[in-house]
Amino acid sequence: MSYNVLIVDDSRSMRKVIKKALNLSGFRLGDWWEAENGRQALDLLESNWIDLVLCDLHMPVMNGKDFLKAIKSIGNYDDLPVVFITTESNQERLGELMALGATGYMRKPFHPEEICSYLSGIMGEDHGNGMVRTDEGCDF
Amino acid sequence: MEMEWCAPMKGAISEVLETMFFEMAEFDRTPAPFDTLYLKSTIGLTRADRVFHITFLATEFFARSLGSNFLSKNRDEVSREDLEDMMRELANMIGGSFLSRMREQDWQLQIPAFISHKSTDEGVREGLQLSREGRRVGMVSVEQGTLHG
Repeated sequence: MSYNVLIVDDSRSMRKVIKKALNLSGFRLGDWWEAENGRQALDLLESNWIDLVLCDLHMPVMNGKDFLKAIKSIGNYDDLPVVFITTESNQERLGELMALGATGYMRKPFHPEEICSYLSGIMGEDHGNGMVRTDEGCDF
Repeated sequence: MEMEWCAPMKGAISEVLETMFFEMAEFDRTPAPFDTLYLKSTIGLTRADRVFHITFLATEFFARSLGSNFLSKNRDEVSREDLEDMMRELANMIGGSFLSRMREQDWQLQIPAFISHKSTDEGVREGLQLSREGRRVGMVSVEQGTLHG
């Protein structure tokens, strides 16, 4: 089974790097979409089947937190995993995201090869390298 | 924050450059003028009415090397838009890593900006010098500023 992924980040370079990391890591990437902000991401969610959202936090137009609030308020996306890939390290703000329904978070910078095991864990697969997702997320 | 930023900043730069850009960070204590084109990006750190600006300067040669590694492109395939976007993201990641090392939980990162592409030292102040093979290739400074300007 492959997964359709939506990458939301205002940096075009970072979106490319995340996609490259997914491909190189062995993550089973199906179709994928890119959005520059939460507003664009909402539009893409309406018209495409997406299995996983990888989202930045600090973005113009609509930031990651407001995007998360928006999809949780709609109700159709209760089971959609939303993982933040962010430079944010403030535990209180990260805790707010988890309380709002985020599935987890990874901190930028990240080692590309570690994305696969973390996301495979999120998607309920055992990638077999011993990394375990916790409610505190995965800080690498 | 004013006095103790150098060590955590070195750690932040090293982490970001080595993890995402496959580049070893070398620091040089001797200030030297830029004698070539450079690119500049900045990110604000705010807390209540206080703001600090982290500014990252890189020679065009160094920025193009970083862009090449980051995007897996040949140096001459890295576009101006790639460079500007990469410089913003670099400031963003350095700012985030810096804050986590400062254990300053109540400071907030702002959205990074690409400031300019100039050919002189105008506006460049002293900061942490980055070098590669004995050549100055970049600089990072942390300066107190104002929220709106």
